[in-house]
Amino acid sequence: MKRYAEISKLIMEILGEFTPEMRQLSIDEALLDMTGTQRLWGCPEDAAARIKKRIAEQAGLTVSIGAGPNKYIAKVASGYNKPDGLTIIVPGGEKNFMRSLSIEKLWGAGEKTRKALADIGIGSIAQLQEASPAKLKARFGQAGAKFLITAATGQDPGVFLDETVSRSMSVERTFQFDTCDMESILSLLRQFSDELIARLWSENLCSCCLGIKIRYDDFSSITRQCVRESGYEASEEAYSDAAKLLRQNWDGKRPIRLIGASFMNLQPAGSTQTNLFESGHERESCAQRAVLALQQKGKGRITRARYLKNKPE
Amino acid sequence: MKFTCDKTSLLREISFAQEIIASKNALSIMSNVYLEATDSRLLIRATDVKVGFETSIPVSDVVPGAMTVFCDKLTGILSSLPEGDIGIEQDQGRAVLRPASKKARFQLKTLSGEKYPELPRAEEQSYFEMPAKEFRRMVVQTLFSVSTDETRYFMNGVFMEKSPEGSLIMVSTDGRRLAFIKNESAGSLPDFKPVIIPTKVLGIINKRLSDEGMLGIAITEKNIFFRFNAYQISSVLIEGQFPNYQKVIPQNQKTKFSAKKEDMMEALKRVSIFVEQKSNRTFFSLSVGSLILSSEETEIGAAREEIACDYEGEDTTFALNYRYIEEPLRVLDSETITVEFSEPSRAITLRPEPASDYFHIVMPMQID
Repeated sequence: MKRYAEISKLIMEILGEFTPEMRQLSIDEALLDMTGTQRLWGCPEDAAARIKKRIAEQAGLTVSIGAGPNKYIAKVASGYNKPDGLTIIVPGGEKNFMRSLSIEKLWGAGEKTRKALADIGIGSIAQLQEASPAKLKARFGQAGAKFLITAATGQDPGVFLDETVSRSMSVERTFQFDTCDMESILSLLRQFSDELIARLWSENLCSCCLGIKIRYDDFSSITRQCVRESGYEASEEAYSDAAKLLRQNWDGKRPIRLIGASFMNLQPAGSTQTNLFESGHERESCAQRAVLALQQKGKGRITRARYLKNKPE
Repeated sequence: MKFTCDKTSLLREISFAQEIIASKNALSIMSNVYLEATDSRLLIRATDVKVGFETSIPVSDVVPGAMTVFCDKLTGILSSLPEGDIGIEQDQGRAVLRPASKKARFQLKTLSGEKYPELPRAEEQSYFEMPAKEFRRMVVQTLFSVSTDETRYFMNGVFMEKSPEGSLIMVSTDGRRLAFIKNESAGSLPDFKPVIIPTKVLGIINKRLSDEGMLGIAITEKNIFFRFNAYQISSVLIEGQFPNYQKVIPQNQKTKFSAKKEDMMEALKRVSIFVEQKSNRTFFSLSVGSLILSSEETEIGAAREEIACDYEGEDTTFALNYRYIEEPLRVLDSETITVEFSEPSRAITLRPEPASDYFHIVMPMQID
């Protein structure tokens, strides 16, 4: 699994070099908005060939690519000719392409929807394209009908509308051996808090929502989160909430395999509300920012004394 | 136990009791209202452990006794009945309700009155009185600024203290804005230690207290007591250290502007439609004689509205959470309001014009 994630990261990095508008959909799927990259990478065929070549060279893998005038049709096209496929739908060709597919390929309509469609006599995308909107509305409601009609004609039904750049950030680590040692779990959470705060600052974001993830020895996982009124400003604040979440949700007996922490609902840092009273963490926050600034300039490594392997006497 | 009374007056008190009761669990005695009939009065008690409520109403046809019944259902029955008398009788673990106006009979399971928690009491001599209207005015100015963040429990209530000169002070804050009122018309007050009063009891007082008459208040180590009309209401106090509010009240604001309250509220209402929902950040740009309220420009659109204001300083812009302006504006009781400020990164002060015994402080948001 770890290897899989590593390869995924590598491929996503390669994809990110082709366009800044890259959105990872899952571990092995991503959407690339190639608008405006024609002069750089050429026509869709050329661009796709380049992407395939780079991935084959660097990761030794084949990929399937679908291209089209909108995200939905591109996604459907990518699944058309697996593996190592390349399917390009030219503008205007969406409806015909969809028509040529079996109803199972209608992305976003699962088994239940297909059954409901069959109930009203629709067994193919072609039939769906010709079905009366009123009939669909009666069975699936207004929103459902709209989705089916739009998707069947290969237009984007807005399945990706809610996208934002990055809504959360997380770190997690698997222990070498499952553990019940509170000290070492807490010390990891402290490290995570330092890492997360540093990332938050470097991306100029802020968050009021912190979560932890616990995976037990039997691979079952829980995630728990807390929300505060103002953004986290120091890693100490994040750590104390993370530690609280851990204590509230773990009995200290069940062995833990993996621990993680995350910031959610990320927002740009600029628009933050200022406070009347000092939180008491201002000095720590200043020190941490200074350390980070030094590190970024490559001027030495400053770290918490607790992280030193060989502690001075 | 048995009594007969007017349904409307019983309903009024039982629905008051229902507001206090937090539990909806029919099996818990904490969901019940305590009823005790003595001579010609019915004593009614309710509590959520923190807030206690007690009152009494005249009843007739009494067989003395006490019981507790599920308040939610009792309220339901009473509010669905037409006007008229109702007879209530305890019969083997049940309360039987017989309205005079209908051929109906309702049975409600009862739990023994003996198991009902005791309400805390204050000694008679510890009560002092102040005009109900004055207390209510103070609650109205402060109640909305309280923090709802439970991790900062010491800000979950309104701070009340007696100033060295003997006036009554109330302060509330959520850490970003603060409300302050110092009442000199409270009359002569006994000395008491500063307290933090939870919002629940103040909300109830604010709703039920009329502007006429006096309000009795008593403060003990752990509780505060209020007494008005036939009501006795108590609440536990919030233990903890209220922040040093005096330190954050700006002493000398450099400049100020005034505007019509109505103009500002109306403009805010419209501009806020476009304000970014998460942060509520709204921009206030001042130039001589004019205030422009605007939202951020987003993909959806933007809003901008100019209103007249009395301002003679340099052009300046600050950003504020519009709710922190809208809420105090609703309670400022003057036609014109004044906003005092020093610089965009410092707290602003909102006051009625002419100035009164209260003000509101709001911390700005970062501009970029």
